[in-house]
Amino acid sequence: MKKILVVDDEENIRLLYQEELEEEGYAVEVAAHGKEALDKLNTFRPDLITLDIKMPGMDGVETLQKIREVQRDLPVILCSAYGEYKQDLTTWASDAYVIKTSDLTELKDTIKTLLSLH
Amino acid sequence: MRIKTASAQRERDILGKIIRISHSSLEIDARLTEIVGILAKAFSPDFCGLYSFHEDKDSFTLTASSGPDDMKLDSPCRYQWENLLREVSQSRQPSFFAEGDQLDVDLRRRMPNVTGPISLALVPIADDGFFYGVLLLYYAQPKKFGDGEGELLLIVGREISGTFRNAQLFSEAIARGDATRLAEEKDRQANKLSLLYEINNALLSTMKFEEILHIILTAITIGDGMGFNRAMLFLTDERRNYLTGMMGVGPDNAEEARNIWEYLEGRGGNLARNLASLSRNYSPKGTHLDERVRRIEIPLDKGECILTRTVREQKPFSIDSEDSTLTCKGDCELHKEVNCVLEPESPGGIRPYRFATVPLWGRERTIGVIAVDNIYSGRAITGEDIKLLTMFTRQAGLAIENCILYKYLEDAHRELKKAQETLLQREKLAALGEMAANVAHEIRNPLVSIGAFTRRLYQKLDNGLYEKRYADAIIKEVDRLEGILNDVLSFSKASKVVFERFDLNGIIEETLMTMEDELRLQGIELEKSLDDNVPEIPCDYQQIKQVFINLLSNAKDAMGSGGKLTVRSFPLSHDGRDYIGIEIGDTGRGISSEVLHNIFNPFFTTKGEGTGLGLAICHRIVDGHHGLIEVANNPGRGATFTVKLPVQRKGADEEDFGG
Repeated sequence: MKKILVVDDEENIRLLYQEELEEEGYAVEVAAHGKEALDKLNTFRPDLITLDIKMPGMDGVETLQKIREVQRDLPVILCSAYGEYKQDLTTWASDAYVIKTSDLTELKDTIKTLLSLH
Repeated sequence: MRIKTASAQRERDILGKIIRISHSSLEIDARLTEIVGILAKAFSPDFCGLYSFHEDKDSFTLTASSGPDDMKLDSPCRYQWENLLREVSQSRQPSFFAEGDQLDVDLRRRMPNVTGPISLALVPIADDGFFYGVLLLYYAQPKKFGDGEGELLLIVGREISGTFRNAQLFSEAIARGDATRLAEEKDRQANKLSLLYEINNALLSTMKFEEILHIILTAITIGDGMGFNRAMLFLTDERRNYLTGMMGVGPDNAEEARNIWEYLEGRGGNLARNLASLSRNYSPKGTHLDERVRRIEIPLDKGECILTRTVREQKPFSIDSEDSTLTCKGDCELHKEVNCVLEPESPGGIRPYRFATVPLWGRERTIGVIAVDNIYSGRAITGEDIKLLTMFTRQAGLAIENCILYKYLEDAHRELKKAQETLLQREKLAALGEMAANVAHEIRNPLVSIGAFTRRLYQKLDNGLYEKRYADAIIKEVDRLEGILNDVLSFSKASKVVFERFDLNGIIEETLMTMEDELRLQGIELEKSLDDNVPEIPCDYQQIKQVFINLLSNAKDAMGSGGKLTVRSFPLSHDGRDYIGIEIGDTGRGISSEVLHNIFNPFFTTKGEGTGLGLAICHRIVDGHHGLIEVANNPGRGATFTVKLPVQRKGADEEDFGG
């Protein structure tokens, strides 16, 4: 079973993603901030990470840099309500960029595609 | 801009009155009394006295006065006045005494009957080395004399001095026996001066170009003005090196001329006011003459034309067909249009045709020419007439030049205001965009939760349950809200443009493809004419597509069912630059004129649904591309939007690539 780490500072989004992705047949762990995400990288050893960008403390972009330092090939999907980060070069280090909507089809499709490539 | 100050106008009025009286045919004493009366009214002193100096007796007498009798020279304060007058006669300089200023204690002590504070003005009646006396203004209260008042009094002093001098010359002339000629000469002089003064006042009443021209020409033709039959005004166009007809005033035939003269004679009243009101009612649709004058254009280097010669040689010409060494050959445009030569077949045999031209001087150059004639009356044009006309055209030229400068200023001002408004609109949009983006983002996260959890709820509920329908309603509403957020965000994002070369026709085709079904369903006919010669241009594909989507769906919505959608593309030129034009027209309701100016403002909408951002987004995107978006509107019959995008990008906008 593939393992997904969901990183988001909003509890409801964490709950939503966890339930939806578990129903898709993934093992899901959640982290509320960048620090927690980096800790779980070693304990949980996920196959893919969904990463919120706007978070208090260490934001998603910074967390992404840190992840890349230890795991270059781990697929990371940036999930944000903000479309304009797409133009930020630092987000290009991610494998995909998905703008949050209530319809999770795009997110799920992206996860499936990325996991099948790896 | 203020054309004149109230005090300057007041001073001109006072001076004008005094000049008219000092040149009138009244006896000298009566004239002086009148002048003192005007001064007393204008300056409201407690006493105003005009003391004439008698050189032979070395003494002053009070010639004219206004105020209580005990202030006069033979009253108890005689001694003090006389002393002061003598000081002025020696210095020839005006003195102003004000309480607490220069009024010396000694002077006060010697005037026992004056108890309160006082002020005095003493002005020499002198000019060109002549000294005739002193003008005295007395105030029984403190009074400050302004610079303007002091100067005005000095000028008045000089003017009165001229009156004395004229009277002196006059009495000498009587002694020699040529009094009548002198009196007539003086009358004419006075009339001329007051005429010029009146016309000048009329010219000051407006800054409108056409009104100024009309006042000038009317003053030349009006009976109690200069009384020519017709007057025509031409201005030089230096850029094209042409002399261009601007306006003509005068009756089109002898009968009309008689009617106008009779009418004007019946009017009476103030000339300045008549001129001003005539010209305010003036409509550009002038007479036959006016129309013809406006058609005239003469190359400035045309040698034999009297008009251009007047400009080149900067001197007046008078042409008299009966007796002239300078005849007009009549082969110029002026002749063709206004028939300015002899009329050999006119009933009473050959009638003399007289006309004259005078240059219009500006500050540094000749700006045009005025032509006058006496085509109906046949009255000869005298040297005196030309002299007066020349004096007048000096004023007229300056007035026209001022007016042109004023117009330039106004135009510049208008341009600036327009630029400022555009800037304001942009700033407003930018601020609004930023705020909208922030709010939109804050709303998006909770909306994701609401929508997605409701979707989960929906999936878990059995079909047919009421709850399932409720969940469905929530999902649909959340979708709608998210759609609005996307609108707002793409509006606020529009400033960041990613330029690449694209074929606009291709983008239109793609957009139309996605709408085909909807158009068919609504029974809308599509008329498409895309020009194959339209080159690829640098633009942001997503943004331009957004513009077409918004414009096309607006057009579609405006028509409801049925109608015709027109889509055209074509190359065009605007302000010397190459553009591609995209035209999207509908046959819908059009836009009502009350809302037309609002359509590009964010959040403005006339549709029942929608965010009111569609056109604002279009405007913003097109603006970001340095293009133009225009609307041709036909209320009730449809609207056509035209987007114009530049083929070349401006060099200065390179930073957009980095955005």
